[in-house]
Parts: sequence; C-alpha cells; structure tokens
Amino acid sequence: MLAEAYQKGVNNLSATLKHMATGAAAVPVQHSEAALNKPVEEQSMNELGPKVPLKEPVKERTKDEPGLFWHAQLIPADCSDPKFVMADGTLKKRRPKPIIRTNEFFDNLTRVGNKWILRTLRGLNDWPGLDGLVVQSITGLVKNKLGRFKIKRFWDASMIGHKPCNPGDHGSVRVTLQAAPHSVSGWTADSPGYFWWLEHTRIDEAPMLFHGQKATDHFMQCGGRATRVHHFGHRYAKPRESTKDKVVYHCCVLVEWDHGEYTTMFELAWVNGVTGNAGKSNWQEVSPFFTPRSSFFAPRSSFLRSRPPLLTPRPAAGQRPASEQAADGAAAAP
Amino acid sequence: MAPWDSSIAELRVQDLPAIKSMDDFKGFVRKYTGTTKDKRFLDPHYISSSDVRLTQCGKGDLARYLANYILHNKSYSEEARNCQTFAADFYRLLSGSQREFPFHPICQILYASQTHNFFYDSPGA
Repeated sequence: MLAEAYQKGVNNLSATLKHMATGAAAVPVQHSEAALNKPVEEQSMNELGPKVPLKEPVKERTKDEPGLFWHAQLIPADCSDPKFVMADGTLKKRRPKPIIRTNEFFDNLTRVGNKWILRTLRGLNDWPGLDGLVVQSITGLVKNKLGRFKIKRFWDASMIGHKPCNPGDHGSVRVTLQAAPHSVSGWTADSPGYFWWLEHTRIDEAPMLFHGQKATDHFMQCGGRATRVHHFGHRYAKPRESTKDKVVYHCCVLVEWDHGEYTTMFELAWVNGVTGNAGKSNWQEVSPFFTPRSSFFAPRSSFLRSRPPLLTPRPAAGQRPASEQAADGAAAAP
Repeated sequence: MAPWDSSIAELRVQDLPAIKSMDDFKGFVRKYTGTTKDKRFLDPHYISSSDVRLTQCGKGDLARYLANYILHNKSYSEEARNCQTFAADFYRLLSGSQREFPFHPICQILYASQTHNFFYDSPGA
C-alpha cells in the first residue's frame, strides 16, 4: 500500500518535472549579439556540425571572471576502449570526469567574441548542467625524448585569434572549461545558493523542487512551525567496509512540525551528490527517487538549468499536468 | 545536473510525508539498516532530541537561515566543514543548546560553531 502510494508520488514528480522542463523550453532562446552578428562559418568550426541554439546568453568574460572550472577528457573518434565506450560504440554517459569524442568536441565549438564556447545538444557527456562552457585550455600528456611524461599545453584561452587546435593522436588529452560566473554561488544566476528543498507534503501529491535564495519567497507563504528537532547519524551500508568507512558518519537533522503531517530532513553534503549519483536519496522509500529516465535528467530539466523550478503551478488535485495532457494529445494524433 | 564536487557543499532538504513522527523514522531506519545490498544505514545513532526553542521557526524562516548559511561559505571539507558540523550548527540553532557538537571526535577537533551564519545575509547578497 505504502509502496504504491510512493510510486504514485514518484510518477507525479516525473510529470511535474516534465511540466517544468516543458515550461523552460517555452522560454524564448536568447542569443548573444556578438554571436548573431558573426557569419555562420565563423560561429562554428565545422559547417556541417550541429547548430545548437544557445540556451543562455553567453557574455564575454575576462580571465579573472569567476566561474567553476570543469575538466573533460577527449576520447579519439576511433577509440573502442571498454573503459569509455559501450558495446554499441557510444560513449558511456555521465562519467564523473566527463568524456567527449575529439571530433564532437571540435565540431561543437562556437566563437563568441574572443571566447570559444562548447555547445552540445544534451550537455557535455550527457550532463545537462554542463553546457555553454568556455574553453580555457587544451593539454595533453606527452612523452619527451627521454621517455618521461610531461604535460604539454596545446592551446590556451590567452591565444586570442587562434582556434582551439586538435592535438592529434595523444594518449590523454584534457580540456579545461569554465562555467558561467554565477556557478560559484549557485545553480542559477537569479537564485544563488547551493541549497534545494524537495517539498512533498502529501504522498499522493506531486513533489515540488525549489532551490536557492528565491526558494525562501515560496516557503514564507507556507504554514507550520517546527516543534521537535532530532540529531541523527549513521554509517553508510557497504558489504565490505574499509578502515576509513568505519569512522565516516553522516549526520543530519530531522524536524517535526506542529501539524504532524510530515517531517523534514536537513543535511549538508557534496554539491550535485544526488543528481550525480543517479538520483539516489537514502530518505526516499523508492530509490533512486529521480530515475535517469525521468525528466529530472532531461537536457532542459529546469533543476540546474537557467530556469529555476519556482512559480511552477502545482497541478490541482485530480488534474494532470499540462505537459502530460499534451503528450497524450500528441500520441493520439496520426 | 552535473558531476558531484567534493570541495563544494550543498544543503539538501526533503519533506518526508511517510514519516510523521520519530517512531516512524526509527522504523524507516530499522528497515534499511544492515549490510546487504538493499540496505542503506549502519550503526545508527539518535544523538540528541529537543524541543525547538527558536522563536522564528516557520518553514520560510528555516529556508532563509539555510540560504544564508550556504551563501556565507559553500566549501566542503572532511575535517572542518561537513555534514556533522552543519548538523551540530543547525541543531544548536533550533534547540538553543550550546552543548551540541559534531558526532565524531575527529570532527570535534576543528569544530567552531558557525550558527551566526544562519542569521545574516552573505556579504555579496
């Protein structure tokens, strides 16, 4: 009974997130002026490459501008190493250190002012949050004449006027990318703060996801007062615990409310720990709560994208989200 | 959605509609405690419990405190700023107790309460 109710809640969540994703897609795409004014052949290194519209306005950045740095590994186009490549020849998705085919990387570079931006259809290595990144450098591990390995810098963002170059056949090539300036403080520019709250007050209602400072605007309108607080700690269940595992405890705080309809769990952990771990959360009966197939992981999912899931109307009881109804309509059409 | 980063912290808050009381919570933890593949917890500790003594303790107030806390310092470190230090800070905030510390002795060494960060906007805000 409880499992069924939970499954219903999860289904509702998927529908809500799908709705939010659709809502985000409806937002007019904003292109940078500089990019629009450039001839097409200057915008992309490969005329035949995909012309993916920018999802966020990309501004020129100076070297000292903030923004989280990400590293990605370039995989040769003909690589079939099972460490990186699936049986069907496609790259493994959502690796902790993102990977991308060399040809795909250079085909998807777009010039905006003096910067080279990586634009991909589904985000770098299928990570939707990694898109519109500025290429900062391309380095590789090469052997010198003495047979020792050293790091060689093939291209650098300071080489203004030079296109990022393909270093050719090298064992390990790494690109350094920089995210938008707001990434130092939060997932979106208009709602800073690496903080999210999954509001799920009833099992049979769709959960809502809020993040950042703006989430407080919503919760200020909510009722309920905290009455009891509990400090809880545990180790993680592992079939074989290392010495370190035996001293690592995760602690969190459980709060009870005066209405007694639900409790709320508060915890601090690594950023992107849930989405980066296939949507697993220990506090949800159904785990992973956010499955990789749900719209939570869709490229235009609004969770970590430009549009925060704020102000998304919760479907009224008995009413399905508009996106779900639209999907039904599309399916019924010939 | 992006890969996790062990040098940056995030605050996660989840409403649990199936858990309405501490007894429900203990049942949930008991259900998932063990070493088999479907289990999640080991060696659970119910460290402290208290009434909430903070005057402003609505949902919006707590959301504001959390936003302030993470905007003041987003770093994560295994030694000085981790889940245990946050849990101790947040418990102190709600309960008013100054005798709450991170659970593990290793984390207590470098612990300095950051409870004041809940109350103030970050300098850049």
